[in-house]
Amino acid sequence: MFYSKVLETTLIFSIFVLSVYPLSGLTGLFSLGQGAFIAIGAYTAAIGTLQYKLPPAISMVLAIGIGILGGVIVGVPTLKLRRDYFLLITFGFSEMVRALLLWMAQLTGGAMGIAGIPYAAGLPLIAVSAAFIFFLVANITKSGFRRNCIAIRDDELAAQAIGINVYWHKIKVFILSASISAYGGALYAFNMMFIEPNLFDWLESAKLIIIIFVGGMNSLLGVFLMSVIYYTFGEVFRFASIWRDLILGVLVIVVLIFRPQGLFGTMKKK
Amino acid sequence: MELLKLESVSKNFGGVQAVHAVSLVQHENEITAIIGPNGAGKTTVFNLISGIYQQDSGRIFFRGMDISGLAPHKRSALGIARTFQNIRLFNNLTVLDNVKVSYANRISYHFFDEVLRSGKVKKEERELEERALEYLKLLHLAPYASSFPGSLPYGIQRRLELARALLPEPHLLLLDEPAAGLNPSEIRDLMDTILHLQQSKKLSIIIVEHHMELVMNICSRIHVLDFGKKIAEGTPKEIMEDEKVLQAYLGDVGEVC
Ligand SMILES: Nc1ncnc2c1ncn2[C@@H]1O[C@H](COP(=O)(O)OP(=O)(O)OP(=O)(O)O)[C@@H](O)[C@H]1O
Ligand SMILES: [Mg+2]
Repeated sequence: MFYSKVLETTLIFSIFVLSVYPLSGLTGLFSLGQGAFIAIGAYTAAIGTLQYKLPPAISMVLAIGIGILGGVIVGVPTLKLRRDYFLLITFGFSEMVRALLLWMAQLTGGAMGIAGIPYAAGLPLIAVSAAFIFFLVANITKSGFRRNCIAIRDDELAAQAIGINVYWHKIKVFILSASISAYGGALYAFNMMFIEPNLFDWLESAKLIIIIFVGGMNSLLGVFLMSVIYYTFGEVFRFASIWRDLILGVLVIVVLIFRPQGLFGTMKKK
Repeated sequence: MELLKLESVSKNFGGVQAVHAVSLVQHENEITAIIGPNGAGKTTVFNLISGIYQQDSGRIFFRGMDISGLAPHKRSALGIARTFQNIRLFNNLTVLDNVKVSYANRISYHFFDEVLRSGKVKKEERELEERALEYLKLLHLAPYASSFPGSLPYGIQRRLELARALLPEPHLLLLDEPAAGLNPSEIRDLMDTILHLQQSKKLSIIIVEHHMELVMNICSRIHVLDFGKKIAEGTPKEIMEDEKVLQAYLGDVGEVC
């Protein structure tokens, strides 16, 4: 029972990490607003089932839809900007969503959050989802999509000159990430049965990026492993969660100095 | 046949007139050069042709079409390819992937094909791999296919940039100082390669170069820039005897000495 709970939580958070991988790992775009897409997915799912009496499956699809819509609204105006502005604006977006969730209390329950969400995402659904999402993300790392992402990360100007529509490709990546995040958020709501506005703040988003960095930007498997280790550790040693972040911090430094390809990355660089 | 035409094109950088009312015509299947002292505006002309910068005034035509406002990736799709003066490769892609990536415009499978890895993706990727390997062989890069470019010697990186530019089968190739940093035997190979490409691929090539032997040997016409202005155009022989050109270069040497 306990271990199945640990596994569920770990896999849901690993879905979040997988959702950020194309954006931050492959394309090198750092979004501090990914938590907002998770929240959008979670709240859409919860409100859909509780207030509009939609079946959970429909609410999940709706969550993905709203996630995509959010991705378009945030991505279209910001992805033309420089990377540092993009980071700041996604941070602003994340804070804005949190404020909205607090403010629209009638719909969202405000600071109290939403309790009593039906339990509709058990281990089987979560495990299948994680496996399927891993499969999808692994597929895009095998063809032109990945090449374009890495080219954009390495040298945007050269990427344009050789024929990549950089802006359009970034939009595709961003929407892909937003939709997976939102789906993960819906799973979270249907698994934990309770959500509140502060669950997915910008710090949580930053953590997802750091896990990718430590696991290895060029290694999807490495990133997944790192994520599983980090979140399992956190769940098993709840009392030691401060230690978990301390170890993560130390790992960042170790990786920066000794293994720029990431802990599990195999790439040789320069 | 006229391939590229610049009509009185100018570009200003906060007061510095980098390119001033430059006009030039490039025909199909010819090799020409743009020469001039440091800071004359040669690279800026390339940046204007490839769309990295937008000109302040004047117009640029490619195969009869006004491409003045087009984004770089669209110009690339029309058949304009280039290399960079200070090599710009993708250091986190292998040599093979550095070549493959320039096929972005020509790939016909879609995002959903990729996500589900449909048969179409596998088939096209197989064909692309063969094609890319051909270009690696052509430029003697095959042994490095799975290395990363950052670890390779300078001359090899230059050839890789060339292979990357060639894969999408452009009509016009812009080479920005392709001989810089190469030793004499590498420069001879480069000249052979350029001539071979012109003939086998029916390419039209513009070369920006300080290496005069290369320019004089393989270019049929030369444009000379000085302080952003075009001061001369002609055959290698005419340029060598041009009073204004000599002055521009002597003036430059004088400053250096
Ligand atoms: N992005 C830019 N911003 C500001 N000034 C620029 C920029 N690009 C070029 N310039 C200026 O425009 C002028 C022409 O530069 P350009 O690079 O085109 O010269 P070049 O002929 O290629 O010289 P070199 O032989 O040294 O490569 C120079 O004075 C340069 O400082
Ligand atoms: Mg230059």
